[in-house]
Amino acid sequence: MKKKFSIFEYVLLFIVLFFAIGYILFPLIELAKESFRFNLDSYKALGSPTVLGSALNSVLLSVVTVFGCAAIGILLAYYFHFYKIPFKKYLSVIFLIPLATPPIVGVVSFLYLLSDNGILSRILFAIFSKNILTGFEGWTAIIIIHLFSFYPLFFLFASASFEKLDYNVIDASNSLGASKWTTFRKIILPFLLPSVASAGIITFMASMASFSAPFVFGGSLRFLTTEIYNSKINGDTSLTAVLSVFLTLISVVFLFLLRKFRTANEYSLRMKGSVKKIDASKLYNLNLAGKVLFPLTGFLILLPVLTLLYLSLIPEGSLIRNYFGEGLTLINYQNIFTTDAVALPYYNSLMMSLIAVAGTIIIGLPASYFTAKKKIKGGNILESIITLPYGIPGTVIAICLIFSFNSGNVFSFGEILVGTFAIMPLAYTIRNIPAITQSLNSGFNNIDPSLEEASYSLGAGRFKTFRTIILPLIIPAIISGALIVFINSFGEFVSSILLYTFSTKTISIDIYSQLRLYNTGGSAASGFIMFLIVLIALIFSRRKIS
Amino acid sequence: MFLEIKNIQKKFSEQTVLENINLEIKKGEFFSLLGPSGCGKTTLLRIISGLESSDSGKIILEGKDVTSLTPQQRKVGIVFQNYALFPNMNVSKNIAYGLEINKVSKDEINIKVTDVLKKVNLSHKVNASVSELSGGEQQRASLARVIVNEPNLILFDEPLSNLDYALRLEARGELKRLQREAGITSVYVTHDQGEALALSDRIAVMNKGVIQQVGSPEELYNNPVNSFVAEFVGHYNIFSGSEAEEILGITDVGNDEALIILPENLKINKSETQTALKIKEILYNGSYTEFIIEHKNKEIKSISFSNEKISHFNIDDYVNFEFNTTKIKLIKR
Repeated sequence: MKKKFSIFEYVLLFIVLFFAIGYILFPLIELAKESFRFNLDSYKALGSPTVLGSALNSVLLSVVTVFGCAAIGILLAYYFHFYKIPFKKYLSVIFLIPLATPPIVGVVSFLYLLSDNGILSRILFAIFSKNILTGFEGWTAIIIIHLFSFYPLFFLFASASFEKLDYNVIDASNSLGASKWTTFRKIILPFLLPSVASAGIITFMASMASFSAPFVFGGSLRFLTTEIYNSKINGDTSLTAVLSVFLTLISVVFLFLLRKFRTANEYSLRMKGSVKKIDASKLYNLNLAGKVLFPLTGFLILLPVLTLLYLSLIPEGSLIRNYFGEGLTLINYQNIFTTDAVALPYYNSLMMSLIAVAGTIIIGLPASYFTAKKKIKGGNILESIITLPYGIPGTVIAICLIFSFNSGNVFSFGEILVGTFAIMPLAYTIRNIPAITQSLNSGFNNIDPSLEEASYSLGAGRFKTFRTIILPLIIPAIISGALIVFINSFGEFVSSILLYTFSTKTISIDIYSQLRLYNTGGSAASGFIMFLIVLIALIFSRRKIS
Repeated sequence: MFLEIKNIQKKFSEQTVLENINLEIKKGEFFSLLGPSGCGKTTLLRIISGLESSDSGKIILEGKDVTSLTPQQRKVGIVFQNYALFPNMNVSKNIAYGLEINKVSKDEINIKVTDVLKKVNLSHKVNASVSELSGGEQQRASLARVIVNEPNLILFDEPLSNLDYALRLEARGELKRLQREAGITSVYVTHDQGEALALSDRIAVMNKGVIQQVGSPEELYNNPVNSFVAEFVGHYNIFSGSEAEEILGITDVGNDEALIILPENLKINKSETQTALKIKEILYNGSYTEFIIEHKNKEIKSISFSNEKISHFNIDDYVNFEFNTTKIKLIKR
């Protein structure tokens, strides 16, 4: 059949191209231009000890994060799949709680839990009358928060692989005389490798781009993301640009690695014939230590959130005197919705996230339609551009937007966008376009082409076929993609902190500024509400997907 | 002529998939395209349906040139290999889909859907979702979705290949009955020669984009024109001139000829002395037994339908062939 475009399709294609060029390529070009503004001398800064040191720190942090998270995530997934775990149903939800914890909320809750002045320190002080838990800052704090935040990715990826593992293979290995450990090492681990390696690359990129934990706990430690932020705040435009280019290049290299890796492993992951699932009666029994350890780990993962909940129920100001013994109150929650200055960030976050959801659907649906469904010529180039922001740290995206839209141009329709409300949802849209297109692409790829052909052969036209067959089948992918975009945007901190003004403050920014003002109760309450909203969205999205 | 396929050519990036295809199909005929995978049979079917365009040539349906028409304009029914039932609709909605597009009234749709569901024995599944259907039921539902529109032509793209063996045999009979009752002209693509022989009025055997032979099942089975058809349709034993002389003692096979004989026409007798023919494998099949006889590196098949005579044969036994010379045919190589 001839693949001719209708006028409507040309309009959609134009919108997608306008976005790809205007809000992804153009900002990157502006960034590159800015970095060369003072000729190549700007790049000499890359050789300075501070920059080299921060690059080294970022890489070191990422390597530790990847291996730590891999060990935790894979082990948990392994035990979850092969062992009888007490409270398995609840634990499997609890273990994913870090996914529902926006970066700044995680950071704040750890601060309130483990810092010198935190709840746990105080409890221990009350019991032992001396300071046992000290020094939760710098590397220790950042690594612990990273492990908490990023291990669920390995857990999910490894679990998904286990689901596809043919249990006959395990039986075969056991029947050939292999021990449990040999089977794990020789059979299970190699089987997991493709998905674990993907998780590793993604975690490495996320860790390189991580901002909140280094920002709050870094102290004098320098990391690339915080250096970019500091140079921007100090007005050193040239250094900001050069560092941003540097960080982007590192991340994009890893993004390409990830893509190469995924295409290379696409076929090996496909299984032929019927796969035998693990039989419930064949699950191994945990020993006593394991039976205690698993619920305990679950409790530890819950602790930061429980801390938030507890602190949110203590009246403002009482913390300096005492954490305990005060009556619990809902006053902090009341304040949020009665004080205009506090309610504004809620309005902003909600509006901006919804705009981002709408924006990503408007751009992502046609983009995915052209690349994954229509497979237009040059579609892979378009897809590469559209998914490029996945490899660009939020800090850099914000810097790019600042450089691009501090004066009016075609893409901002002549307006200056810096300092406006619009630039925030724009940043969220750019950051989340890859997420929604990934969801939509797999949605489109799952639609059997013969369904469309069947519809044509039964006399339906293109529009009728799209409306009655394709759209209903793609809606679950749209919803799950939209929920992911909402979750990411609602808790966004990294770009927001570079782009916000007083009137465009979001909840994340508000939590951070309350933290700086020692308004523990207020920030804890906001953090807990944000956690709940994201948790609900997350549960809903996982329901939808399954 | 009901359907004429004239000089159809098709290339996929320099590779010729269909080479000058010419076929004529009569009204009401059940016509099969038979060949191994990659022979171009499905591409030809898609060109007939309009889902694929040909590089050159014409498709003429009921005297009208439909080459440039879209699938929705041609209105030929297609039954897909994977059935392609719309997962977002239940069984009756799937079947009503084409009728709704043709603006048939609600009442009439109801009558027709009920009627066709009865025909394909799916009345109890009217409101079932597609995922609740078994493989055989899905196959019948997809057939119902097509015949309810009363098309002049139905194209079948290996519709039974996803069913297991026993079900496939049952569905085969069912399909033949429905086609005969409805009297709809059918073009049926398959790689299963047994299926083609059982169902078809006529068959076109294809290989590498070229039609090898067109004929009735009996013609193809008894009088294949070349070694490809002989082997693919009848599983004939094929001997070159020198092999025929050495193994069967038959001379005068030309250089461009081959000698063929059906396995069931080649009998074996046990030999007390060493011969050049040795039993390599014995495959018992219930109603018949297949012997694989080895001659140097060549394998020759022999089939025996009698149950008593086989018991005294053993692997590695030496044998002699016995055959009636009238059963031997010469074909082009």
